[in-house]
Amino acid sequence: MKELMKNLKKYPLIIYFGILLYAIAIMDLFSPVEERSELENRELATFPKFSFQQLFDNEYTPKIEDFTEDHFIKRDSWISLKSISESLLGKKENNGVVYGEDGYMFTKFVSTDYSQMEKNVDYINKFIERHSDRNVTVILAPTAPGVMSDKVLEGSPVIDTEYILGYAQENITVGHLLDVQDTLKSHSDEYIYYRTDHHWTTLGAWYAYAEYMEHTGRSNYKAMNEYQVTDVENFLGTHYSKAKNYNVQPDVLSYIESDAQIDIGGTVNNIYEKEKLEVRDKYAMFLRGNPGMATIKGSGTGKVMIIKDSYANCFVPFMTENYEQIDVYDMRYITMGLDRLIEAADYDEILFLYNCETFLSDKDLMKINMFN
Amino acid sequence: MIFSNIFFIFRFLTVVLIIYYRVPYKYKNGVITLASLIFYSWGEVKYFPIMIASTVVDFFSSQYIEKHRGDRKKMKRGLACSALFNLGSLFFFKYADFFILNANNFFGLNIPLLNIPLPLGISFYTFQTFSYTIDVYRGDVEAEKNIINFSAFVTMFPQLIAGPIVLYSDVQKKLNTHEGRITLEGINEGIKLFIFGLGKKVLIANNVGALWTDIEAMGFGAVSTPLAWLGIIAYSLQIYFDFSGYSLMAIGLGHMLGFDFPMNFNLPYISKSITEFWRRWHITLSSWFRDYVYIPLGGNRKGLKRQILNMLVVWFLTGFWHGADWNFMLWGLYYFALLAMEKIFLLDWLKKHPVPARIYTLLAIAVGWAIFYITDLGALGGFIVKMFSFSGGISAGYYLRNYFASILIGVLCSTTLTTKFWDKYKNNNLVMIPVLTGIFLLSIAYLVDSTYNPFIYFRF
Repeated sequence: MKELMKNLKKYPLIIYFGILLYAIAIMDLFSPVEERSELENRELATFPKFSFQQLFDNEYTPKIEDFTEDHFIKRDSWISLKSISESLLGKKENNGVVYGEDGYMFTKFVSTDYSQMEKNVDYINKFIERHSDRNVTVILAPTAPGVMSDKVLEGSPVIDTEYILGYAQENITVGHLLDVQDTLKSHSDEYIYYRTDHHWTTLGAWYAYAEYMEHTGRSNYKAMNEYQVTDVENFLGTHYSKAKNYNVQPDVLSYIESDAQIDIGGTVNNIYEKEKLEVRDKYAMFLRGNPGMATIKGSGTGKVMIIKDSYANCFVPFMTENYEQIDVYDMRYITMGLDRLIEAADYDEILFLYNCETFLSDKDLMKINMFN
Repeated sequence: MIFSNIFFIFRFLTVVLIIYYRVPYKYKNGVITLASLIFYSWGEVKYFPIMIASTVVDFFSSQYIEKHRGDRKKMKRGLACSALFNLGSLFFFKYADFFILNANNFFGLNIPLLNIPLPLGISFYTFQTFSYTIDVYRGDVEAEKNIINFSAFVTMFPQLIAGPIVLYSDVQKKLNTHEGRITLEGINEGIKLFIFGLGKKVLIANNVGALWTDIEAMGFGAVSTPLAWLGIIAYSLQIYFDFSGYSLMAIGLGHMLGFDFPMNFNLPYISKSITEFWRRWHITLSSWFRDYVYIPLGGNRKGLKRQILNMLVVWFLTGFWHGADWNFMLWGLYYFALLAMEKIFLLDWLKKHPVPARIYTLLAIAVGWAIFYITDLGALGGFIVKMFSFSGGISAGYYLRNYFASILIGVLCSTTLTTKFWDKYKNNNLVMIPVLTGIFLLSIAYLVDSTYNPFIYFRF
């Protein structure tokens, strides 16, 4: 042993890396297990329960590896280190997120398969045919790259909203598509999309809302500056959760003050879940997340049904002053025929509100014609 | 399990090394076997018995041959037993579905596919165990008497899954050495090689590899000519750094355990001919085919015609060894054609014209990788046309900006700069320790946030 120690002195590299390896390994072993990562905005892997079934299906050991990686000591610092290295290498993307100018981030689209979108257009046309007496409107909101094109680095692999809206324009039954892209584009110098999140801002949603009000012949809507707006600093959205870039510029999330109530499965609350403003996923405050079905009581007249994705969540609060009842439906959670619901509630208007990225790949829209 | 993985480095390796260093010498081979069986079963627990069978069959075949040395008939019986098992299991697991599929297509049959997942590393370890029995048959080595020592040779986790293909003679002495197997000198060297290998795989291969994955997603026919070239350059770098990085990690781990594995890559992209390329690329595989196929067939001793025929056999097999698909056969035959051409007339000219020689070699290798990767022959044709037709498509601009630095680093590290650095500083701890620390910590950072860490030898 003594001799070994004497000899070891001749190899400082062994001593150094030996200590480094074992120090990290031991500290990691004793570091506390966190349940969720705020940085990545997700639940971390839990230690898998052993079962022979899983072992023989080769599902057990990968879970142990995932657990080790998810709970590795100083995980967030390692992630930042990688981000700095990527930035030094001049990388313009990470983990499916493409960087643009001025801290903007976009969803990466390397290749685009439009077949699902074509099907979705057909589903909507079939729906319109059945409900031609009810003022059906389709808004396909462009995502940031289609509007903030000056923030997109040339040649970046991002979504082609022009193509999608062009296709919709040509193929959705005439008179039912409300194109808001041009309006949004004319305000592209304003803060209408989040830099770190895939949603439009409340201001962006207002421009689309105003268009919809004009489209349905209501001119009694308020201008943005007539609302009482609250700003929430330090919003880091879904794009950041993936890219985790060390030099991120946080967003400001705004909402208009509202007393409107939302009824989700019999529980009535304010339409905003303000507790969410304390956590990473602040956008989830709007409509209290993504309820499958919810009813919002407004102070206006008429009933509207909204079949939607999360882009509608910050859009709906504006409508509470125009409608008596706003029912929102998230097709992911709907397992019953819409037609009966429409008959029963006797809606005056039906609005489809999807963003182009969801519309491209959404597989639940087929359900609007099912179960009837 | 693969080496470029947080669990492997900080859990598996740390525990195995402590146990291995602490136990008395007579148990060390047992520790290697046990650790290796866990390592192997980690990825595919169902194939644990194949590993055991592979060890047992070759151990006893060789014992049988050794016992009946002189009796040709019985020796042949022992050899046949090993051949039947090794080539049989390789055929069954790797090629059976390919033949069923093609038989169905050609003869309009409807034989159901077996759909058995390929046991990890089967192409590597069947070659190792088979060559051992051949060596015993030839009398080149003496049959191992201790089954634990032998199973340590077969299963040894550093080289189990992706080589280098270690021959029994490479490790025989160390396996039977009780004192002095492990040296501080060896551990010192092993640490350095392992970290360099880790960096090659995680920092270079993974970084450039994502580009090729994107191009595949776009469709090989959708890209512009410059992007096609950028892509194939990225893939050429990925496969080199991935494979050689993995081999280097294996060699490093081997040193830490006290073994000297043969070198597997020697800067293949500086070659000035394809002949030279194959002396620098996956060296242990080329040597295996040379020693166990080419030379037994007569090598170059039976005239040029026979030599060319022997090359054809070797390269057909080399191609097919890489994967059960037509494009791999094509890839093998492509190299046969180039090598035969060089053998017959081109090599002398290439030697006199080093600059055109380098360009020709790199071009030929790049086309080779396209053949190697793109299994769909139609898509392959489309891609090669793209490479040489100067046509439009998705432009390269964004990808060039995104990958320029990574590709540049990859290119520089493919040259003699790396070996010059190694020769100059390998014993200079003031340089080595900071450089290795940087590579090690950065690699961990990339592994912790691993969005792209493929293992590209599943097909081998």
